Amino acid sequence: MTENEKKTPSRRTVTRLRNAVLLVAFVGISVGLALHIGWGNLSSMGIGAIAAICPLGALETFVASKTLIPRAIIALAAIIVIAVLVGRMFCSWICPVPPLTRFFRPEKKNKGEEKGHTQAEGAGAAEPLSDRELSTLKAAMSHHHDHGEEGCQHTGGHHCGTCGSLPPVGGERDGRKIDTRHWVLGGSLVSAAIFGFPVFCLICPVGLTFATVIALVRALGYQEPTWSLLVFPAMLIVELVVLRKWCHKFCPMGALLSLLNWGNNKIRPKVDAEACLRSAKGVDCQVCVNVCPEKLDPHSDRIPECTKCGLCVDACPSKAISLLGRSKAKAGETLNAPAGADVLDDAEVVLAD
Amino acid sequence: MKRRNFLYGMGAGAAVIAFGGAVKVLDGEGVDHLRPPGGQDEERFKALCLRCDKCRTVCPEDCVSVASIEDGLLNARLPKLDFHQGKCTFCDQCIEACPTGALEAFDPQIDKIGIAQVDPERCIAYVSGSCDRCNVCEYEAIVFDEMKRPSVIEEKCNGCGACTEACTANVFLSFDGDRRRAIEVVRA
Repeated sequence: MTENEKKTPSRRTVTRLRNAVLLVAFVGISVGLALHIGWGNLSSMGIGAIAAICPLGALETFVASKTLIPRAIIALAAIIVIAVLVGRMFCSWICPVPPLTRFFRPEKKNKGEEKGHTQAEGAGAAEPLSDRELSTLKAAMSHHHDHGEEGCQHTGGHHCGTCGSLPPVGGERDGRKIDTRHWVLGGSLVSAAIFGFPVFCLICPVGLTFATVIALVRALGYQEPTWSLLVFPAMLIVELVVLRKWCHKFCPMGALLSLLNWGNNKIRPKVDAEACLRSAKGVDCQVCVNVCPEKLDPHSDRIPECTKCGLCVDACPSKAISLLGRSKAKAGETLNAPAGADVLDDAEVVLAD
Repeated sequence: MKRRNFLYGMGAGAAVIAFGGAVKVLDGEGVDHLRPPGGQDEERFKALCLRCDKCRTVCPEDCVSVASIEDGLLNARLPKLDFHQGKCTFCDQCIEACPTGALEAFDPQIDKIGIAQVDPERCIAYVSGSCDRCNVCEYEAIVFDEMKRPSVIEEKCNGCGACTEACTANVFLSFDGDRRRAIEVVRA
């Protein structure tokens, strides 16, 4: 029990780490812009001639100028290699737009069936589980307390670990699907080709975020207050608040990164079947699917939309999920204990939360 | 449901294309901003610049500024030169930092950022005499007549802005809020 108490603060390990990375990236870039350090921002980051490039921006300049600049091709190739390896990791670990969206548009709680999804990012550590999930876990616990390991009752269509496992739930956005974002991506490239300038860059919320920081730097440091200081954040807020769900519906960068996200099976949530309540205990646990902001199931083979945000890792009541292939359960926290006991203790911790 | 998503997608894609057209039309003839060295071909520059701001932050002389929304949506966030903060020394750091090649190689002996122009109505040497602050040109593009009034030899001027940086006309004489100095570089 004392060990479990020690574990409790680290329950949101990945989320904490991710928030720290997001903060360091934003503050680091802003300081660079203010102090003229010259390491750039997310459009192009690096020192001197060695710099990364926004892959969407690079493609736009290619079609807009009808030329292929060797330097941009090299930078783009490097970014493509990274995207193939880490997929949409940028979206949840670096991009300032999701935190800004949550700031300007706090998720409403208790909103019908979307509850599980909407609470995922907004609710934080306080409420990782929905009522449905809680009742599932309560049922699981009473099941075990009543019958122990050998007691097996097929109640409510559930199977327990000794006599069968449940198939994965499946996520709404598993696999590769073409949606509005891909159309925006295509429209951006066509528009750039027709009109001869990178059109999407003008409305890119990442660009507008740092344009606002730059406008602030110019206003304060150079006594150059301009309308940019109001217009850029206003455009940003319109995109994030009025258009709603920018990342899921409109962002061409997310679309591009998910298209590039093939062959990646190293950094992605992996479920330890021996620890997962569904496969090992036959409990109808859906915590990971419900907590996923991208509406994915980490049990699925193909989840190119995964941003590696780690919310499923942090929320899993049996700690069966990990991003780097070594779940906490596998690391010996549950498997060495009498089967099932620790899982249920963890479930109690979640319930106590 | 699928059909609806398809229509939404088409609408969003078309909206981005329409937005590009609207921006292009509203921009009209564009604004005559001075670009960092190597960005003088305006059409090429606008096609390649990502508005990444690197040229501004790497400039050791602080002469790269940034266009604001007042300069139009297409111009906004593009770099522009402001020689009131400093002059261009052709150190090439902005060209080196430019990730898309929007800034090309620049030879200050041949290429021009722009050409300096003297405004006789503002120039202290023309108005009251006894000022030669702009006599700093290392390309020998500024000459003084017998009245010690400056003029620019266009062939020699490459628009480095050293004379603009040195000009004190707008410091000593007030011109109803206009921040232009008596010698300014304009696009060639």
